[in-house]
Amino acid sequence: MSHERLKPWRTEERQSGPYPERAERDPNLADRALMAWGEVTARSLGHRRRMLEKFCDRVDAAEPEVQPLSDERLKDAAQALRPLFLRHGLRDDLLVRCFALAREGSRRVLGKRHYRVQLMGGRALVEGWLAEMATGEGKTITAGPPAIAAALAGLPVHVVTVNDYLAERDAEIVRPLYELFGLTVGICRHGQKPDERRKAYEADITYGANKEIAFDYLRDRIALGHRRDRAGRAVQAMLRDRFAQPLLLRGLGFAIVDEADSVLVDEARTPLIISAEVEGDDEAATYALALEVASRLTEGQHYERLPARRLIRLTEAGKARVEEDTRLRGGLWGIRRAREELAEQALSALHLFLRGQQYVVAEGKVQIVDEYTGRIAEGRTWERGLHQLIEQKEGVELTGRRETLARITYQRFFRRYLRLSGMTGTGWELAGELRAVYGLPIARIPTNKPSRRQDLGAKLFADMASKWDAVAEAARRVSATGRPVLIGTKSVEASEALSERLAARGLAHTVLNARFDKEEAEIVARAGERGRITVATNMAGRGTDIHLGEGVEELGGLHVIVAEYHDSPRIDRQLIGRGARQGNPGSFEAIVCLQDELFAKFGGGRLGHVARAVPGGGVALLRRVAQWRAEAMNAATRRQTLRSDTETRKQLGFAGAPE
Amino acid sequence: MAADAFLSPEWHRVARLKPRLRPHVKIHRHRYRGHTWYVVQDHASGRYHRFSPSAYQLAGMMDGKRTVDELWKALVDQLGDDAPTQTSVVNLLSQLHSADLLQTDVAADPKEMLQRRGKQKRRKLLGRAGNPLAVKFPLWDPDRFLLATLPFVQPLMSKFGALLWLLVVGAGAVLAGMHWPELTANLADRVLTPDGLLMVAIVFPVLKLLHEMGHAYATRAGGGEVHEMGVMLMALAPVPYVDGTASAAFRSKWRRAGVGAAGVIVEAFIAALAMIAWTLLEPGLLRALCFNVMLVAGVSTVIFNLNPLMRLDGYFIACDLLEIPNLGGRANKWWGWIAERRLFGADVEEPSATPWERFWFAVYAPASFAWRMVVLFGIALFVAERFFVIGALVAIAGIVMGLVWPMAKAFWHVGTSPKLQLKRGRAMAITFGGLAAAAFLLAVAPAPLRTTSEGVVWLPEEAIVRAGGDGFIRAVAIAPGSHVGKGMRLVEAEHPELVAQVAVLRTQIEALRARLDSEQFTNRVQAGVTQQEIALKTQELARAEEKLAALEVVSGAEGTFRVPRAEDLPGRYVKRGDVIGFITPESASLVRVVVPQADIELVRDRLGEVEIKLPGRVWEPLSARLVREVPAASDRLPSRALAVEGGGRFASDPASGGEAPRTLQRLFQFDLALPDGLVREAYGSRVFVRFDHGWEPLGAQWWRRGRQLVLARLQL
Repeated sequence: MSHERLKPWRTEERQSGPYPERAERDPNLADRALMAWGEVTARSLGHRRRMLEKFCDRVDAAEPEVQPLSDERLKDAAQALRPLFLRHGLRDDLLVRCFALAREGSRRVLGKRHYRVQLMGGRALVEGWLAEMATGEGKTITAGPPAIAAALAGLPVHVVTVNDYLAERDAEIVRPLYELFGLTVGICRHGQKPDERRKAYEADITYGANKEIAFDYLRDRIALGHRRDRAGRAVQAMLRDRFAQPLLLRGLGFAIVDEADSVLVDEARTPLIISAEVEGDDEAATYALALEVASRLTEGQHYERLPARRLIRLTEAGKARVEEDTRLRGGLWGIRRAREELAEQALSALHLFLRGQQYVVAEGKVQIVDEYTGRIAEGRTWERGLHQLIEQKEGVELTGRRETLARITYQRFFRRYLRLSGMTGTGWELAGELRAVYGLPIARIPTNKPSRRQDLGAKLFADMASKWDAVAEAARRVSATGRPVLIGTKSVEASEALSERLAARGLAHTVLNARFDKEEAEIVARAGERGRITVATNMAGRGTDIHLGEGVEELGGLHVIVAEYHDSPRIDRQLIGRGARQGNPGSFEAIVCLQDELFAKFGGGRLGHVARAVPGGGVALLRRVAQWRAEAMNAATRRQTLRSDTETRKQLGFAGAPE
Repeated sequence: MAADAFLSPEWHRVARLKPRLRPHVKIHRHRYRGHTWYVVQDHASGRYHRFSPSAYQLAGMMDGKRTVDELWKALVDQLGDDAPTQTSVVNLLSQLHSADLLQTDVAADPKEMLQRRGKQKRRKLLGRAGNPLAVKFPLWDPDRFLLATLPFVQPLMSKFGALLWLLVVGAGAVLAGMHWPELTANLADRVLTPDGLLMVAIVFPVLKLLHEMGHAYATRAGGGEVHEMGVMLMALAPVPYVDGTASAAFRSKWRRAGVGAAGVIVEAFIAALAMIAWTLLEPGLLRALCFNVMLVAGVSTVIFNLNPLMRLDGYFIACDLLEIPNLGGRANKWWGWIAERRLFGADVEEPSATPWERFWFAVYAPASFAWRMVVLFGIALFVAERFFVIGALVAIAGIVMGLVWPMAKAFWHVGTSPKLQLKRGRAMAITFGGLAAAAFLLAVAPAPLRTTSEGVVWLPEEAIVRAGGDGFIRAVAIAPGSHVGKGMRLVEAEHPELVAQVAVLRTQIEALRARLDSEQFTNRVQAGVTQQEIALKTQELARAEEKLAALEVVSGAEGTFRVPRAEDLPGRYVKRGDVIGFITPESASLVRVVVPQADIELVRDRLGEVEIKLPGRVWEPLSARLVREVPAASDRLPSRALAVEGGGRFASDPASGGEAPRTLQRLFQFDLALPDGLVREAYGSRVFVRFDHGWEPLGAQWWRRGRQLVLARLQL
């Protein structure tokens, strides 16, 4: 094995610039297709797993050497690896030693000695792979050893989580381990001041939500402007006689992306945008008129909806009508394209974006709810006037029109890490795409203990009312036995509708959704208690560790009810994965309805009726078809996004290098 | 999001740029069909770009001081509804950049530039090597030479020059008209001899060089620079070429067209001079040379250079005169739009075009495609005949470049184009449904399988009047031209020897009978012998009498008795079997048809109905029946009427002549029986024959013909 390969990066792969990051390469279409196809073939070969197993054997063998060391000597031994890593790269024997030390340290300060599967996962991360580990296998401490190794090798390490809460929680869990080895930990949260952020990034290992880190990177790029070469920047700084705005990050070194499928795939559908408010004149009147005009249009005659694509388009008649209604208004209304675009946006605001589904109104503001995580997407706004139109619709104060300053797609951002790795419970079906886009090979890590999760099947109802009744009834029945129940809904609105039904039955329950995210930790902490009913949106998905209350295990553990299937089976599996963790008992069932969004959009009328007629297997078939269609379309959208991103880069070459 | 959104999501990238056109570009104002366009000339790269007025307006406002955002806002205030969208502004800037015309206050993305450079290089290389039918080798920058020599040529580009040209070419044309038969007689023989070919090989490059110099001088005279000249391998034949793109900047369309036509003008002039010389010279080498000059300059010019369907002079002249720049490219785009819009129902904006342009788009694209295919296969076959491997490679490359690649691109477009995103299902269904339907039609759906040929009305054997034995004709018993019945005596002949022989035999028999009488009772043995002898002589007599009787020819059929040159007959000596005349029946009953070798298998093995059509009554097909086949192939035609000279379809060797010309291919002959009393055409008239072989998918039929063609031409 060559020396060069063991280095965390190859020199020629680096982007020239003020800090380490990988130069972008755009694999062409054939390369991507081959990689995706190759990965789909390679993932099942098992050679990666054998390599990981062998590594674990060596760590097991090395463990007795480090066990007698004192805490102080443990730290010294780890620090002694620094020059070796720098000199030899992430060589296997050094990694064995590092992992053995981390395991021993973890046993001492966290009270958790890494299981073999966790070491295997950790080793996969060092290699720059995607480790697929079943939910509840302790991914938090899996990230420890690789983070330590990379930090000792001098790389800025970012542990990327899906949200601030998890960043903080995970960092605090593992912090004693890092500190044992003399490594510093930084946490990057929403709302921190630049100085605090810079400090967080200065730490050896930084925990942060994907959005925060990407935004900070984007801020750095804005600060750099078009002067991105190191020398040029130094000259500039000297001439201006100040280092007023040092950069936030130290570089994009080694990233461990937790819940990689969510971050790298689901969230990658929308680019990150930093915008600044610009003063607009008479915006409110324009938006009010747009909404007024749009509300006068009728579906079918003036506009058509393309529900599967979440798109509204004006028909010729609609265009004429809009022109008629806005004649004499002047300004943008005088320009055909601008007028029609505004009208279409207003129609979308009225008919496609619904409160409680795509957004909530809280603290007098319209806040976007992320479809995949169920959380409020802080700071995200819709583009091109849509946000203001929705604000106008909801009658809250208009935020000023925002002008984009910089934008970047996740695809582009994460590819710039010198070494990218990821962990997830649900990555298998995305293996091809992750390999093609991010160069992430997948390694499936076995579970530590066999699963004791019970599938109680699925029920399909024709209308919403009977579905909610059935859900409430099932919750009552199970909680009566003393088992805790977790009910997963897709939208805030649905969680509230269910809450009403439960209340009507006199069932005590807690609701966890984007509106109550402050109490999240408390709600989750109590969700495993005896007889408790928790209604949650997708928020209670990834990373939520529900500990079973006393005596619950004997009763059969947590029962999860899936009240609506998501577009992606991965999100459903995440919800189901909240129960029966780490060998605990548990069960789940699905109670769904033909009118659910997934089936309405992708179920195709007749198929639904067929599915209802078939006892037992019908729902599964319907679900499979609908989710397959939805995923195929989402995958196409993602491919399109990536392609237009590359195209845009080509097209805008004259405007300088992109963000 | 619409393809042309008013507000571009990428605006933030460009809004603050302060762009300007690079200082070295020159802008020319052109008018096409009443519309103004601006042609931007880039002196550094030698390329030309065409802008619409609105693009020009924006480009013209770019001064390197105002930002893109300011420029756009100014345009919106100024133009209102006609203002360009942000998207189109971004597109324009991008186009300017990729044409290396844009300069901004920001360093461009080096990676994108490197990528673009690599792509251009690859494209250039591919353009050179990728089209095996036209590989270019630039050799020389003729600009200085042209400038230096232009004063000598300039006087010809004047009214005087035009007059002179008209005079000479007019004279040449008149002379050519006068000498047309001599010029065209035996053309193939004169050209396709080794001498002729050698002469063409010498004349051709010289003429084409003069042709290209015509382009070059015309460009130079108009003020354009000419920086590249070289040799292009067209179907492996070296042809000079010149880069006259500088003429694109000329304002007058006549001047631009003039550059395109200059080559042909020169060639026509030379051809006319050669014509005049040809009429004046004595036969000899020089005269043959003149003939070849005329041939090359005249024919190749008309077929290739002036043909607007190929991307040669004619195309560019047509583009300029029709005022439709880039006719071919835009025609293809327009057809693409037709497919997307009408066929797939996608909401795609129509490429801007006036009705006049649309008409030409509609006509041009299919015509040029068809022509390209003909030329492609023609050249491939032509080359393959001489150099099989090279030809096959050229053919394969040509088919891949000309047919497979565009089709693959079209399918890729249907499968991935974002424009079709909303209608992808329908687009795929129509495309692949159409393909499947075509495949079904070709491979499965039966189509009538037929072969056609020609034959002549033939006479049955009994209708031919032949001499029954050797002898001198004494008299024609029945006047030729009169109607005769079966068994009627037609011709009387005599054979004195035979008459004498009969008399001798009779006498001998008499004598033998007498001897028998005497021996009968005396010598039984001898009597037996004599009896035998009598029997023998009697037989001999009977035979002689038969022969004598046969001298009288009797009609074997009913019809009109026809004797060629009847007055010469009496006294003529005829041999047994010689044809004396014919009895042509009221209606013909037999047709002799020839079948070329390629069709013989079908006619033999898969014959269904046979139909014949008479030249006078082609709308009334008659059914016929195959009665006889000549089992061996022959190279003789049964009648001159079937040879090309006789108006038939079979090429024959003109030297062979006679009643049965020798053909160039092997033929089989069949006899067809006609229905009674329907065909009144005379013996020897040509008839069209159609053999019906049942049903077979078109694909299989074409495959058979294609294989035969290739195998026959390539002598595999």
